[in-house]
Amino acid sequence: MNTKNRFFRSAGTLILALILLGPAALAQKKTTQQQLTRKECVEAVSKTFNVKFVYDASISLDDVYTGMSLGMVTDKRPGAEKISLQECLDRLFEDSGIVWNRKGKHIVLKKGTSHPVHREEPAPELSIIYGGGDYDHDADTLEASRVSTDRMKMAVRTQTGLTRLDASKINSGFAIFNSPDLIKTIQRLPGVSSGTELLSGLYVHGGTGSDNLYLLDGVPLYSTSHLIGLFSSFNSDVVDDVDFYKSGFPARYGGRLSSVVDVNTREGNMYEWHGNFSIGLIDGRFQIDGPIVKGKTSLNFGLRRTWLDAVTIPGLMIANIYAGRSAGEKYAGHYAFWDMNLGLTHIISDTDKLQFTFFNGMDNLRGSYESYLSTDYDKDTHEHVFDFSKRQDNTDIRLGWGSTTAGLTWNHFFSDELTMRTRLSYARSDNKTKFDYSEWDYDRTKPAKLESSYFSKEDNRSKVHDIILRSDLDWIPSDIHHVRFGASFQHHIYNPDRKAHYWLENHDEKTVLIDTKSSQAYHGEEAALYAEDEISIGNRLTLAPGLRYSIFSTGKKTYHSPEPRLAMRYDIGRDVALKFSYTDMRQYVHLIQTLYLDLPTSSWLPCTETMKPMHSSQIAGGVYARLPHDLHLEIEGFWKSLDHIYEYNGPFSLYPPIEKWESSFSEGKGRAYGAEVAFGWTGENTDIDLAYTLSWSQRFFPEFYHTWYFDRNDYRNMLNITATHRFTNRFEIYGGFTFRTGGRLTLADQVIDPTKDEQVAYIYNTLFTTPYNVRMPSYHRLDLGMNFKKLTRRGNERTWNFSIYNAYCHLNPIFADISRDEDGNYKGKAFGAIPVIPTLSYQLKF
Amino acid sequence: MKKILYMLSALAVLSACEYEFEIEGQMSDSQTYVRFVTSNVSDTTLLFIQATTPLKDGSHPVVTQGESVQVKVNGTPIDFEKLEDRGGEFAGKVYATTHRFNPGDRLELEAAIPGRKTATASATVPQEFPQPKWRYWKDPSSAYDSNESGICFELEYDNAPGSSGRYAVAIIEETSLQKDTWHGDNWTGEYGWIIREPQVIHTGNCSWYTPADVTITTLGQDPLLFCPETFNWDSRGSEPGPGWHHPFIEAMAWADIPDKTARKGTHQIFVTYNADKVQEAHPDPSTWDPATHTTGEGFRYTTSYRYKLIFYSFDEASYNYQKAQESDEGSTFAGLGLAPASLTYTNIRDGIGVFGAYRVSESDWFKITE
Repeated sequence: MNTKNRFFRSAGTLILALILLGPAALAQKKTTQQQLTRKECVEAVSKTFNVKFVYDASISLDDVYTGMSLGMVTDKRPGAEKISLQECLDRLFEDSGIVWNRKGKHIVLKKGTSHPVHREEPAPELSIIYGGGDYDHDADTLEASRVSTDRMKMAVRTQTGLTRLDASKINSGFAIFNSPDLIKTIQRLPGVSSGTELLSGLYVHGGTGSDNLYLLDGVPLYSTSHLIGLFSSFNSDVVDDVDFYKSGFPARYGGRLSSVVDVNTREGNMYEWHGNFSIGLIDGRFQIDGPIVKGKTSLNFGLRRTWLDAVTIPGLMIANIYAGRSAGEKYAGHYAFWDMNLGLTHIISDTDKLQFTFFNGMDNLRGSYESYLSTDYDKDTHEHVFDFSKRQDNTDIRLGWGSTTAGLTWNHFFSDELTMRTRLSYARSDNKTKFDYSEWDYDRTKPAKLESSYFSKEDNRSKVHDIILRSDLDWIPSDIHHVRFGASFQHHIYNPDRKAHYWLENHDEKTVLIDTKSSQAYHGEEAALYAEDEISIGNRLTLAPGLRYSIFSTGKKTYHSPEPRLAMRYDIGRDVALKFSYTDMRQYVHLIQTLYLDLPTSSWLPCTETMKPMHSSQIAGGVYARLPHDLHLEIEGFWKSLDHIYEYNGPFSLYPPIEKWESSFSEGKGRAYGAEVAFGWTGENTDIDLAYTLSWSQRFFPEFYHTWYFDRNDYRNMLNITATHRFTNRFEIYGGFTFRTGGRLTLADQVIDPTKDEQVAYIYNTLFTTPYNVRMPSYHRLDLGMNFKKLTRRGNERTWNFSIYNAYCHLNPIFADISRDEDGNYKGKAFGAIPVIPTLSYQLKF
Repeated sequence: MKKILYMLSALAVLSACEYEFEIEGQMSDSQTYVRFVTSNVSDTTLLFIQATTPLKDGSHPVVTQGESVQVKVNGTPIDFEKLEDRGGEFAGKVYATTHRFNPGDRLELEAAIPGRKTATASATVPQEFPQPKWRYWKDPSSAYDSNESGICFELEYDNAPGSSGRYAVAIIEETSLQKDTWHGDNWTGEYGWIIREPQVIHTGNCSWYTPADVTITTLGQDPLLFCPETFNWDSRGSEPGPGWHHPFIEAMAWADIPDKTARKGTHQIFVTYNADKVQEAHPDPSTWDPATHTTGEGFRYTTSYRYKLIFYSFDEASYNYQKAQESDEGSTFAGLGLAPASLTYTNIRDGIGVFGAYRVSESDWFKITE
């Protein structure tokens, strides 16, 4: 047995051992219920029963709850006591000085008179508790109701660069074409840029855009966007929370260099059916969740689909009837995307729970053109007569891309101190493009006879299959340690495939001109072991060291490497913390593309003997403070280096050359550094957030240029300001302003024959001496949105949303070039295409 | 190509929303540009030198004055003659040498323009690529479509000397189209050109039925066309009757020799010729009689083709320069910032341009038999 096989067999054995034996040795302590604040209990109730709490700003829920057990609401053991919402609320607020009143899915809290309300130090982990609804009769309470956020968390977490977003945060943001967008919410965070206008790119700390780890319920997702990047693949209706890391990556994450977007979907409600329905200008969403077996098995299902095709297909048919017939042409085309999320949760016993998650998202785009034989010409009317039974040529283009994931997770509670999660999952990415062209030649004697035909078919497909087995354990051996460890094994199959078939047909005789089939199948095995510990040293210092050891094998080559991680936090007083982190990451897969556009012409391919794993090292640190008057401030700096990154160096082609792709890419380095500031204020009805980033991103590719140069995504200044204000419980507004320095592109900067004044002089006599030497104009836009909410008589919440993207219609540049004017001066010209986009949508939650 | 056109069309639609922005201040300063690539094709080698004009000063060209150039061969300076300023096509200064460069010669350059650092470079003249054995066969589809044809060339060669160079082969086709008009008792002729754009479809196994092991390593995706300025018929110097007549038009397709080190082996190159424009040359294709090669109006057409193989042995600089020039032709998307951009290749220190050498050997002209 060779070394590689021995390793992977050992890795498999180790995972099995972790699952079966490790926990038993660690599960020493008896189960005890953890102490929670009343606020944490409220959050748990909100999640469990899908209700929302509305309460006065003077009500504090920060005291520790010491009353009767709330059963399965706060006790996550599968066999915990099941109690009703009413029973739960009675227990929670008994002797608290707080009275509750239920209105539909809203729980209104008021101060009582008989018991004092203690105001102690706020709990570190606040949850979002959203107040809203139609309560005219409770207007006095609602005026003072407040929206709490989790932004204070930064001060108490050990990691740098972590932002946790929960569903309400995502859904309260701006919506374009109906759908609130998770990725666009992340794009507004400091240190993150979006790249091309409207698209779902994430360029984090000088990253390449293909180095972000997207996890959907723990399963990697390769294709994360719809409509060439306009929408992200994450349906906000089913998302529970998102952990976004841009530095300080814990050891349990690996495989990408620049960021982790860990998306968890919501478990279905175990006791009641809930859902929502939403309809917008081009798409609609439907979500429902509830018990299949009460208290035992639940379902959460979400579906989203665009109906652009329902508009474009009949539209083109009408156009063909009125315009196409006179021109002897026919157009057809449609576009559609959809995604579907399914989650099933089943409680097996007091200690065991099974979860099944499934996701499928696809985009399909098709366009075709046909022209018909002209059989006559009317000299008087100057019109041709066409024979619509005889086609002259036909062009048919089809693009499709998407992802599928499925995962089966087993959660096992050994004790309150030790839990385990083991997941077997499958992920698939599928990109396909088809270009067909046909041409028919006729003998034009009347009647016209077919003489010969020419056909060309090109079929390109790139697939990735992953089968993943992973086990994670969470162990709290004492008050000062929180240990996580685990192992994972992944089998990857990368399969780019290209076919070209050209042939002639002449009087029933077929002659093949080109018949090429280029198919590659790369198999890769990836395994990783990790361990991390969060250690409290005294009252002020917390350390979180971790180590990940990863190994990747493909073909004859095996790469392996330790990836050390360290995070530390030092508390200065109650409201200020200093943090530092160091991370080392490896990425064993490369996105091979010849264009920067998010098209399905790209392929994911693994490391090979010549293409090395990408590597990054990053240090980050800063100060995180809660200030008086509900203000908060975070200042963070980072320095990151990237090694073994690759850039396409071949002649232009829509597709990367899959046969010899390794020789078509140049290897280089990157580095990025900068500082980020996040500042915010949370009022009773108003939230304001400001995020500013000052950063530099550089590359060094010796084959391109002799020294370091600024990267395409070198955005020097980025500023995001978002604000929400709730005027009444029925009406709230949202505003978001984005500014960033323009990206860079490579344009000619020298000319060796400037005497000519034709445009051709620019094309043929110019020299490109410096990569990415020109900055495009700055990017800025304002988004506005407003929600009109109302509770129906049945207690359902309905919302009309009106949003405006790019409110002052600034045409931000998508691309640019240089042209020469009549005076011989060269001018930069930018091209923008996205104007103001108004959106109207309706949502009903039940 | 169609796909690219579709994408360019989409970009054209977007370009409706264009606006100008200031590029000044983002451009580099004037540099010393030098171009010197010697070969055994000509007895004379030219050296161009010019102070480049930054684009931001496009309307105020930098004038090249007071320049000096020196090239040493194996440590000994060689003579250059300064030619008249050419202007127009090249506004810089031009020097010429008739020195005979030999394989293995070490060349060193120093070129200076006052006010700038002295530009320097070095190169080694490569060994010639040994002329291999070769054979060819035609694509049978040519019988059905005169506009598309393909020829497979198979090369067999021994080891090329040295392994530091880059090797390529060019297929050159010369074509001529003769149109003869029958006047009842005699023919009169006039001559045109068939513009056939050759493209190396692939190198490797070029059986067009099962080219399974395809290796696309084309050096040049676009042909180098030495074409007249117009595609019109030319009656100058016409003589009646069939046969070879000038002017011909030459079209050339390049292909890299696999692995670029030309180790012993055989190598196949499949070239297709797209002759779309030949139909434009026909006055009335609908009357064309393929059986008699005449039209109903008493015309006949004679097409002549002949071929030559040229084997190139480049040093690294001249190879990279050639490759970068051809990459630039397809860099529309790169120029717009939508694809990785390639820079103008240079091996000149403290300047820009190319200083290199290549050697050529070639076959005789031959005709492809059916």
